[in-house]
Amino acid sequence: MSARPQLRGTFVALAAGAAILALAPLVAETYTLSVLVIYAILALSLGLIWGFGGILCFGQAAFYGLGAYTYAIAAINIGESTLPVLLGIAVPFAFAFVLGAVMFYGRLSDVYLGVVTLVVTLIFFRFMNATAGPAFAIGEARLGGFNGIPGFPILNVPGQPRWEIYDGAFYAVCAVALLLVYGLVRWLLASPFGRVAVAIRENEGRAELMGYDARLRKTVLFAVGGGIAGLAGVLYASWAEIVTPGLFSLAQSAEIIVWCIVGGLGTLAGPIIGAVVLGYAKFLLGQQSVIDNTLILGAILVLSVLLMPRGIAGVLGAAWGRAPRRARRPRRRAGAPRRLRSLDRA
Amino acid sequence: MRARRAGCGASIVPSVLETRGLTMTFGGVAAVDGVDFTLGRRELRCLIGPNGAGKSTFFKCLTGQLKPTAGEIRIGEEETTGWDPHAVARLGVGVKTQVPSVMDGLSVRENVWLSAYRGRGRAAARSATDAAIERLALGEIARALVGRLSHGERQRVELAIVVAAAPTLILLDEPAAGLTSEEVGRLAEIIVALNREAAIVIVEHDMQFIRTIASVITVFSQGRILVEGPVEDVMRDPRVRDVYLGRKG
Repeated sequence: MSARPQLRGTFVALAAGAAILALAPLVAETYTLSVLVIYAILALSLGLIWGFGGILCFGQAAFYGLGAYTYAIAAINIGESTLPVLLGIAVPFAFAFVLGAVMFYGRLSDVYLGVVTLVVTLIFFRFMNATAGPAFAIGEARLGGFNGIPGFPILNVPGQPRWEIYDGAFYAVCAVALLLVYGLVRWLLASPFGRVAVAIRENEGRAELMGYDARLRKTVLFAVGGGIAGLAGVLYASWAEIVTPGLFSLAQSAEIIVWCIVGGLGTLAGPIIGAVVLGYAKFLLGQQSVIDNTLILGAILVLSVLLMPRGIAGVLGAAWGRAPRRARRPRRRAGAPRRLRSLDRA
Repeated sequence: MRARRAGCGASIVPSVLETRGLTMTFGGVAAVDGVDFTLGRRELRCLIGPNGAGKSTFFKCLTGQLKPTAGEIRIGEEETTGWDPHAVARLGVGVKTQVPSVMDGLSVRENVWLSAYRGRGRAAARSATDAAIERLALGEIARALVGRLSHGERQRVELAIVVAAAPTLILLDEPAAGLTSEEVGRLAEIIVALNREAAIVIVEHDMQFIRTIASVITVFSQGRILVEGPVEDVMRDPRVRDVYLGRKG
């Protein structure tokens, strides 16, 4: 398989993404944009494991909340954000790895997998709500029950606790994180590991008959998705400056699934688009009190499934495919050599 | 064109596959009932029998898709009873299932590459992919999505997946099903050629096809081996006629 066209595609996507992220502050505040970018990272975590691994996780919020809580607890105890950020990624990764191993080595079918992940996040939700007393503390960090944990140190420049990162700088950190995660996911999917993961999604039985251990690969992919969701949780904690059990809620889990469906499953851009569009719609709808937000978002989901089964990314992709070729291709200079396109995909 | 008949020779060469007392029960029903089976290196054996005789269940036990209730399976030097399918495949076992098991959302080339890549580097996988695609005459549809292909083409894709892994033991479950007579002729040639490199077990109903490729067949009935031997002898055996016609002996 020729890697060059894929590499070029990745660079083009990253450059386009960087340009959009750089220009976005011209149309919206960086405070709002930051949380949209965080949602995009979170959506990408589910988009990876569901869209490419075929693993429908109803409890992606568990890893998101775990990342946020880990960061808050570690930041209070350490007083600086560098190690808490790493822990906020590592703990959800490890938890997802263990949970994934139990589910996949236990040969749970898709339905039960959805039920188990949903139950896990609800257990977190119930447990965190029940940690109000002073007995529920990790080091100096009290878990705070329903009220959550407020007032922990936000992101700072590594090794410099006094140089806190907020406003425009925080948005820049979130934007870079999204680009890095996107690049990492693209690289992963283009690697043999990613191609086998897609093969397992397509036909797990055949992949096993080829000699691939589907359980191990699904476990690793699930853990990577957990780590990415954890990173989103870390950034959210630093943005909101408070973590509450609501991060583990059923509504939060459902929202991530809706972002992926509306944006377009099986693509990387789809979940990002879905999270940004629906996240911003939620922000705008929050400013009115005529109709309940969830009703409108529910209507958007239903209409999206009926009218755009492949999501916004699918519609955009189809429109791009229909566009006249001449309009899409840069004009070749007279005398310039023709570019050879690799015909060898595999 | 008539393909060369493969020889037997199980008695003089070491076995590549052996089962002893292999049993697989579902509830109280024994789909495979104490089967002793031996396959020599580079032997080609066809399994026949009426529907429900236990052939495909026997196959699934060999590949690890089903865990046998009792008995022993040995592939080469390894006792593989109860192993997972991926572990069995890594011993060099290539499997073609009854209904083509392929990745519909991927191209022909991607399907074959995935098989060729396991246990090899990228460069070796690419040349093995090219060779398998050429051998199965899939060049013209190499970039097509497998989900859009005809049944015959999907059968060939699955065979290419098996070939690309360079197995030492090949298990083919009804490879000629749904193929045209021309495709069956081509398939017979391919199987005979593969048999020069690997031992092959084939479950098949098409007797003309079986006569073309094999000299020894094993007849299954009610989960057991009814009779085993040269094709013509087995076909003359009244017990075989009885089980095919549903008569009780």
